[in-house]
Amino acid sequence: MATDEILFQAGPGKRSIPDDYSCDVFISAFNLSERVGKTFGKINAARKFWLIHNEYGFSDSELPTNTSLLRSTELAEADFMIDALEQIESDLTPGVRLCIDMTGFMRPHLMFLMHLLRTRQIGTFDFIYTEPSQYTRKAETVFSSDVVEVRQVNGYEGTHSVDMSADVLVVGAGYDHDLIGHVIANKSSARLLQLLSLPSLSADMYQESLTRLHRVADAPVKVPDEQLAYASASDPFVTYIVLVESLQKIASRSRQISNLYLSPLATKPQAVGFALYYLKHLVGKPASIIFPYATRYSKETSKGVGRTWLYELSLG
Amino acid sequence: MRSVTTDLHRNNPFDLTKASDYSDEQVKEYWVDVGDAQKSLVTFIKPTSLVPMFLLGGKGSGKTHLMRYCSSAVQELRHSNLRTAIAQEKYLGVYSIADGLNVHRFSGKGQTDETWQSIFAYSFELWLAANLLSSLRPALADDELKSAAWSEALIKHVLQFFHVKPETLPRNFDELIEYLSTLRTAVDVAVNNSAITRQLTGITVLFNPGDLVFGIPSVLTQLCAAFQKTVFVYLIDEVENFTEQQQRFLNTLVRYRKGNVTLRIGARLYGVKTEATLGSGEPIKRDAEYERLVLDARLREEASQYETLAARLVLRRLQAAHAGTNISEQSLPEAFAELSTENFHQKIALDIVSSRDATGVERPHLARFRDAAAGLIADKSIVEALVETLRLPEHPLLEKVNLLAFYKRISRGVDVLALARTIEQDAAALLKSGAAAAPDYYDLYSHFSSDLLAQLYRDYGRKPVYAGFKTLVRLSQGVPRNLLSLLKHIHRRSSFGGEAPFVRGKISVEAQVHGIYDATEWFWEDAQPDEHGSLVRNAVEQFATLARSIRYSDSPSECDLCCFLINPETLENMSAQALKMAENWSFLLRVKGNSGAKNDDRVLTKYQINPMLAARWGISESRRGAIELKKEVADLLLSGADPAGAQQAITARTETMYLPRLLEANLVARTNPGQASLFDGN
Repeated sequence: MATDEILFQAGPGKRSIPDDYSCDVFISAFNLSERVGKTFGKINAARKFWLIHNEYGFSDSELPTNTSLLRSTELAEADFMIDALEQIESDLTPGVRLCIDMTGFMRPHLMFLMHLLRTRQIGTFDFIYTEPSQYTRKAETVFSSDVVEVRQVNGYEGTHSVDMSADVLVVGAGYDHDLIGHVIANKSSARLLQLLSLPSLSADMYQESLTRLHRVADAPVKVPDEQLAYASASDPFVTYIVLVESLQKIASRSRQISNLYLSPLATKPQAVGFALYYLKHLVGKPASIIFPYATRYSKETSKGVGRTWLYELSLG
Repeated sequence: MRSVTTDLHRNNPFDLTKASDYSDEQVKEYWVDVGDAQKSLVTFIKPTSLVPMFLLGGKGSGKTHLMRYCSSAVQELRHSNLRTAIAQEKYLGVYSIADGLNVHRFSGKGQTDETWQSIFAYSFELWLAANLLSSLRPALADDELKSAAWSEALIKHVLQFFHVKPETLPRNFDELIEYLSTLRTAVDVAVNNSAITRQLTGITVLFNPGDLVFGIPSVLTQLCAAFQKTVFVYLIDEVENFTEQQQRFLNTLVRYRKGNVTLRIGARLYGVKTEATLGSGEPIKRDAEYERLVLDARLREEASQYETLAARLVLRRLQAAHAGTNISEQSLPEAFAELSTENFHQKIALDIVSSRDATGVERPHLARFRDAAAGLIADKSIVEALVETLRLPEHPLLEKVNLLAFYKRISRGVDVLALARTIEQDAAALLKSGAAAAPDYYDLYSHFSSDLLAQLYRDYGRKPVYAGFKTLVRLSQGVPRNLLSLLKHIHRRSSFGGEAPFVRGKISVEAQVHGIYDATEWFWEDAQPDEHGSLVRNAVEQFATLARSIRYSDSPSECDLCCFLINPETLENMSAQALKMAENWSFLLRVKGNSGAKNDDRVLTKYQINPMLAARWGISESRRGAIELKKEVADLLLSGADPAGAQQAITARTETMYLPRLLEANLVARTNPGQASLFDGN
């Protein structure tokens, strides 16, 4: 399939957010990164909401007081998102101009939200993402700690095959070498395809993510070329296209994939790209998105405010 | 034609270390055994015994390889024909790996635990039943598969287990498998949709739990004469992935096992979360209802068998990389260079000190001794006489033994110069006439030589050496993957250094040392003790810090210390949890048999820091010395609650092993600790 055609299916692509951008409903996940707070202030929306993730471990005194908060005590992403969005259910109807800042979102919640919106016939909506100028401790940045379990993301649980002889695991490798290790260990019998982020959000981030990848305990010593693919860290549409092409390549070179597991561990835009691919091509198939879940995440892992990108999604 | 050198050089024969990465062919190809058929590893899990078994073991202990070796796919490869394999081996191995079940989806989504329990049991049984039929299929004869009457009878019998019959009946064996798969897919869809809909609609549980798992083999036995004496073994691997509720179903299958069916359940050491069954929750009974085998512990107990296994494992990998290698089990150790112990490690020790000696700088151990003695002895000539008497320039290691002997024997009132001269004479006698001429001195040397050598390395900015095939086997502690990982890294380091490992010459000590340090880091990173990660790692670090502090002290209380004696029952909750997790993740090994405390009748448990981690802290890999940790100290080290307190406890335990406190404690009168120099030089 031609690249243009693939892109046409997914949305018009990535672009800088226009100065006069506006929407009806704006939802952002609260954390202490400057890029999240500044973007929230700048967006022109009829109604704005902070989503409060429990994983950041904020106390009530740390939370904003002048904006509506979307909260839930539920644990799993499906239960949490459905519960948290209940109070604005009447706003989330087909035709709403909805914008979601994915920057502070937990990746499973972000992906589940895409599935949920699609189910509720909100197939077209906008995502925005603001890049950091730098992560706080370079290659030592810890994004998550103490992984509890690796499991399928709600809404991305496929119907799997008993035959596991040709399972494939596609890992979107990012900074979290600990997370990558957990995922590889969980699907240890699967053949590994790694998606590295290139170009990265900034030039030195690519090198940093490689540095961390090399620390993965079970990472293959030698990675054959066909096991490596490169995708932009800040463009879900490019990630989407790379996934289409890489998996076509694998399918044409070897026998049919028995079970496919996708695990986006790099940026939020990459997670959106993975979810997009899943929703377009993998629903009802022996394929799942899996993720290493941690009990808590750093409240602030980045410095500065980089570029803000707009992604207009069409899930159809 | 490719040369041996090229093949072994380019391809690291030890690259693949995980059985889950192997193809069925590789499972067969890389299989090695500890002995003949009677002593085979397969006998460990007794596939033809009807008693279910939990096969436990640390990561990489070989559970998956063993279970996959017993799977139908590898049975077929062994005999070229599955029917023949079943006839000869008398069992059919139905291998399932729990990670394929994605068990975590059977939770939450607005449903109760009880609902999920029954839905999981239903889906899992469909999975097992479909897997059973798929595994058996290659063993069926064409006349069976193509016979309408046989198919009809089979399907009729199997569908008897179902409360509701399908609208369209399966017509043959393959359609029966497809029917079971379709039912399972319907469950998957309903389970997945419930994330959004909050409802589990469209699932009707069509049979009673256990009916397919136990019933289908019974039907097959009735319909196929060839399988009448076959044991159907469900090999269910990586059960640690199951939740506690899900394991209850598995335990229920163990309890209600029927007919010619049995189970082998593979899990990590920590993997069994409950022994309870469904319903009343009554636990299954070990030995009466199931057996339990801890694979790596068994291999550690049978050390000679493990050594055989280790050597064969290496040779099989070398042969697979290139058949031309002519290394044998006997000659394998010769492929690894080792430290020369000749003449009391003279050459090694001189190599370490020679470059700094050439600059005229005093050896660190002598300089420390001089400084400490000078702080206590007013007469500097006595200090110098002591240093000169204990100095042994041509034997740096024995020079350290001299100092150690001095530290061990010194006490208030002793004539220190006379003591130094006696030690000097002992050293001379040993060098001239051997151990019998200076038995006590030699005893000290033989106990502490590895610690003193490690100190020498460290004092001169080098890493302590671990080398030799026997050392590698000892480091791996009954876990084949540890051995393979060590060899993978050593091979890489050796090749990178321009050597031709296993082809020409020996693998240098340097390559082994670097490879072992790499493998140690891998081991430390590879174990992922989930949410208790930092607690466990901190606890092991504290243990190791204490062992290291003692090993590198001027007068270690124990030689080759890597074991601790603890009474786990007295520990605080957090400490007990850290200890348990550290054992589960093989950071600590429980040493078989309990030990009594030295001064009373308390029974203590001995824990060894896994030798795979020894290099990380430069501690000993040999299990010789052990120290008892009282409850208060053990709690401080394990709980992580008071890092400063833990450091204080380590200092308190070791400060009198270090200069200058070591000399002060032995020479200064305790009745007047404030007086700096009571020593009179006599």
